[in-house]
Amino acid sequence: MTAAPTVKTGVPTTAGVFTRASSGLVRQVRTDDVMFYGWQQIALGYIIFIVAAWQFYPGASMELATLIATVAGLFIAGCYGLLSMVYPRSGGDYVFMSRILHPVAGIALSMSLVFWQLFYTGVNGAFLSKFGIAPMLSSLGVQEHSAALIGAGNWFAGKWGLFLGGVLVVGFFSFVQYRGAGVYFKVQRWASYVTAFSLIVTFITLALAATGVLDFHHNFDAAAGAGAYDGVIAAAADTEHPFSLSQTVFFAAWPAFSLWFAVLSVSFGGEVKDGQRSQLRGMTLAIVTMGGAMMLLMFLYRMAFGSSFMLASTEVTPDKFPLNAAPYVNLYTGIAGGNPILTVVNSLWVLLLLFFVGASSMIVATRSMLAWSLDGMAPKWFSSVSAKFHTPTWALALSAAIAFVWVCLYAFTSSILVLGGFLGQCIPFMGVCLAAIVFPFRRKREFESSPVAYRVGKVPVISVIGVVALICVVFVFYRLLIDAAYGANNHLSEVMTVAVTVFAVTWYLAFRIYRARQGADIKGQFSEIPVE
Amino acid sequence: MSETTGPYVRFCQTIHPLPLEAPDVRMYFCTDIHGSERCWKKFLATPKHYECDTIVVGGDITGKFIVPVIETKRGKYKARFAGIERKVSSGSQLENLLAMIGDAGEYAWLTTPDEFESYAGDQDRIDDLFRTLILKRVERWIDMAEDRLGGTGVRVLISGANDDYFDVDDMLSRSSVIEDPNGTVIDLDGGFQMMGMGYGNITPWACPRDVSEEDLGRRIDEVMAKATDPGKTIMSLHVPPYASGLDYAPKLDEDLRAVVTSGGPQMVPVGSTATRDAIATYEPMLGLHGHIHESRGVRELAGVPIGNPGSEYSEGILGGLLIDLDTRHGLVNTSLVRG
Repeated sequence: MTAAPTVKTGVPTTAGVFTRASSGLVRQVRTDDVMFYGWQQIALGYIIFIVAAWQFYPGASMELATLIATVAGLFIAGCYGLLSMVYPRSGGDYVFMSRILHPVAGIALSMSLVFWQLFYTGVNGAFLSKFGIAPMLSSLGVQEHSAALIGAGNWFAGKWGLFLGGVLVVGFFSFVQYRGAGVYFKVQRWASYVTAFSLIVTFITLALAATGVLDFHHNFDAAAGAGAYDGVIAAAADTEHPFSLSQTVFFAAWPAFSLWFAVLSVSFGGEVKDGQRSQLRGMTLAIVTMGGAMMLLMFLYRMAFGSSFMLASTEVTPDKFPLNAAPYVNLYTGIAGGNPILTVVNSLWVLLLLFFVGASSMIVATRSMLAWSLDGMAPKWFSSVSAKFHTPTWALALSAAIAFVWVCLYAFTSSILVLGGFLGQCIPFMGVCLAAIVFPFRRKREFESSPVAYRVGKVPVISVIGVVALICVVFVFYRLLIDAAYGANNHLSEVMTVAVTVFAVTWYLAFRIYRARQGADIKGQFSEIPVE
Repeated sequence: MSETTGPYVRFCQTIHPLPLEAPDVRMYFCTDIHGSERCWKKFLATPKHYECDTIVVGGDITGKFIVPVIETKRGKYKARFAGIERKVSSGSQLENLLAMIGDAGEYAWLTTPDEFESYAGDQDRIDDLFRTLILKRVERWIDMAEDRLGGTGVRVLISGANDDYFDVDDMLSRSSVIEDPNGTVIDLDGGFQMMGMGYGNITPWACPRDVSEEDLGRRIDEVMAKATDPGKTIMSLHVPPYASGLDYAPKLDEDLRAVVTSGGPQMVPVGSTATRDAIATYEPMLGLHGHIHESRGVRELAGVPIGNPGSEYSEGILGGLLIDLDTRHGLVNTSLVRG
């Protein structure tokens, strides 16, 4: 059953089905709730470094690449959304994969997801410093001709600034989750309104700059010296490239890194089993709306700042860039606005989205650890909760420790780059796609009685969606392996991607033996009872 | 114990070169199967699968949905099941559909368009229909239990809980195989006892056995007065203790919809303070609970192990808790299982 205020309301039902007064009958989660959660996971603020990576793909269309990533994301969301309709209360992809593929696949792929989610819990804090705070301070410094503000911006983009951002995010979210996240959620809701307002202001600012009402070229020259804008373009190599479809497709992995994570709402559920389509709809809407917002921002950035300037500014070496700041688009948005208050307002959505996505990553990790423990695949202390706050103390502590290690590695070494975790995160995506493909064949009875028992001819729709999604994920995985521009194929990322998977399988086998010695067998725990 | 070794024990024996010492009592506890035919059939197979000698359903055995299967033309039927409108012909197609509906814990009701229309919107008639279909299924389940487990020595303990009509108790009491611990104390092998309490605290759904916390506490006290030794007693209290970690459910708004935050659905404790007080006061050997399907786990409260195997009845998955009792050492093992 579930909790509700003591207000007598009608029992939820669905057309064509009768219900009675009985506990646990709740309505589906709202589509917009799933969508908002998806927005949180997508973290549009990542667009700052996505756009900065454009220079590595000559001839690529950012907008078309984002459209491709959006369409591919819809197929991945299809796999997650449809499987969540089959297992509406099961707790997400860990359970899909355990049941449809094998328990060892469930734990291995879930561990991989958790490990890399924790990577991004810490690293998002560093992103907050690097792509949020630093450009905002630099922009203010340029406008106010303040070397101190510019220096502060550069400090936040440096090692200790990254470390501080990471520690702030890991520490803050560990604390609020330990104390119970009720207050945090209220604060976060208000923050989402601020985010929306800030984003709208940014769209308006960019639209004014794109239409010439605000003159970015003039403002940049005013800040960096006469002719600075043209000087940047001249200092770069050729920035005029003919359109390239292949480079566009290759670039699509960057927006995919952001858009595809809308699927993490998969663990929401309810008991009125009418297909739970709000999951599918919510994920779809999240990906489409944020994909649209990303494309619009990219278009406005290009129109406002000039494509050649954007490419040139990220291509030239720092000594040829006339400002003592990193060439990110939020720096340029501030310069285009020409007003310190507007700069702060325009920065808020980036700051807030990068700040709060860290919390979501940590929640995904701690919930998964609880699920492993309850399934006997992890020590009991993984699921032990604080007597005072009823929060998973040890799971949180372990999550924070892993995230902290990643923060240190990101801040003080060059062994991790921005997309370093995407390689590892593709593995659970592939697992879910595979589960979607084989589900109608491996779990025939469940498929036939499920809300997703649709076919095109004789072919199950979920399998078709799974095949397309798997092709997309495998392609991105392959590109991440061979293309150094993503930074995902650095030695540490590759080693950790393999190591986490091997560790997870070893963990499963070790725990199975350990539990068997206690008189409980993990395999036996999951083996289906034969029905006679 | 069954003579046929199940996969659970077979694997354990491959790890242990010496035979495992059999517990004095191996109990299988599940709950909230809510009318699922598949879960019931699995439940009856648990003595063989897990090598148990005592099997228990902790309440909420009846379902919540009726699926009208409407005969639109002679031999042609349609029904909305699991969000999809299904159209079938009589014969094997219809049988398959009825089986799927039953496996999900729902009650298929063969009807005509006119009859269906006459029920739609009339909750009193729908409730009468529920009562008829529920009791019919319970009666059949009792027959199945007697056929399969009668004379095997396996003890079968089943009680009603807050979602079950009181008529269900009457029907269970007529069985020669099933014992109902609800509102009483039952002696188990090895000198252990089990008490049952199917009443629960107030829910937003006005269920048949919803009572106030005070009333619930009083009822528990009355039953526990019959227990010989609380330290050797299992308390099967359908509603888990408040804020015990076994009672976390999504917070709902006034429209009975989950409140979703940036961290997902907001989970809040919804258990019973009376149950919590009872566990702390009597310090039983073990607390067994259900009711909150989402809050599967084994935890401790006031030094007492407490468990909730959760429920995924509509997917036909039977969540359970294996409990090993030893005369000398009391409770020696608990394991959550999913079958």
